[in-house]
Amino acid sequence: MKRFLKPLMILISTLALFIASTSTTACYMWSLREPKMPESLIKRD
Amino acid sequence: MEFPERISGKITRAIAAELEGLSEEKLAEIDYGIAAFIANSYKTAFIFILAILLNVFQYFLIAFVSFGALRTFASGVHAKREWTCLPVSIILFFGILYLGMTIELNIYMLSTIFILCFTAVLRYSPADTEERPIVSRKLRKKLKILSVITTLVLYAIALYSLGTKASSIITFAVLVESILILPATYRLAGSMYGVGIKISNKREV
Repeated sequence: MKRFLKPLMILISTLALFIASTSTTACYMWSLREPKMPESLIKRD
Repeated sequence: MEFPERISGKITRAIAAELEGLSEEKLAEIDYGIAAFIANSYKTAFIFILAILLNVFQYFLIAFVSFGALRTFASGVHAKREWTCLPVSIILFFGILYLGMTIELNIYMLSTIFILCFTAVLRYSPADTEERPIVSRKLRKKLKILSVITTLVLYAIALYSLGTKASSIITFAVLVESILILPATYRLAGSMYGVGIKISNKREV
């Protein structure tokens, strides 16, 4: 179990970062509530 | 704290314990990504299952894709609480389906609705939220252009399929999404419209 834990966490983190980074440029929250975006993801000119 | 954030917090803590060396900033982004996935996926799955059970899945898919395509770029108001989100989403999606399946729109009605929606999209998109402000002016401009293009593409598809249920469903999906970007809807929902513009203008929010 322990052997699979680290790769699983890496996979979840990568997917989560992908979702987070794509959410900065478009609204993928088609449902009607969205969590608060962290300051570091807010794009500025 | 809402339940997607509670679950994402637990998963993020497990990730932080397993993968050392991740910065606080990165962990916050992972936490947000997981919360966003949970918040979206269980509601989407619930509504999909409901559409299958009600035997309207093919029409629901048309409404979902049309609504989602425009919402991706135009954004719009979001519910403040998790428990209000699912019922409101169900009412909106099945409201679109009900209207689209019972009202057959002719070319004049369809065009009038699309002109109103186009005006709203041109004027008010992208409509961001306090949770996800769109501060960058370049990004706002890009999203506005993409919203306008999406509206025109959906209008073309609705015209092409005129006289069918699909045409009416697309039109009502665009209408509902256009209503969700109006400042009046934000006021009704107790949200603030144009947070990103205010931040970029360096005004106090």
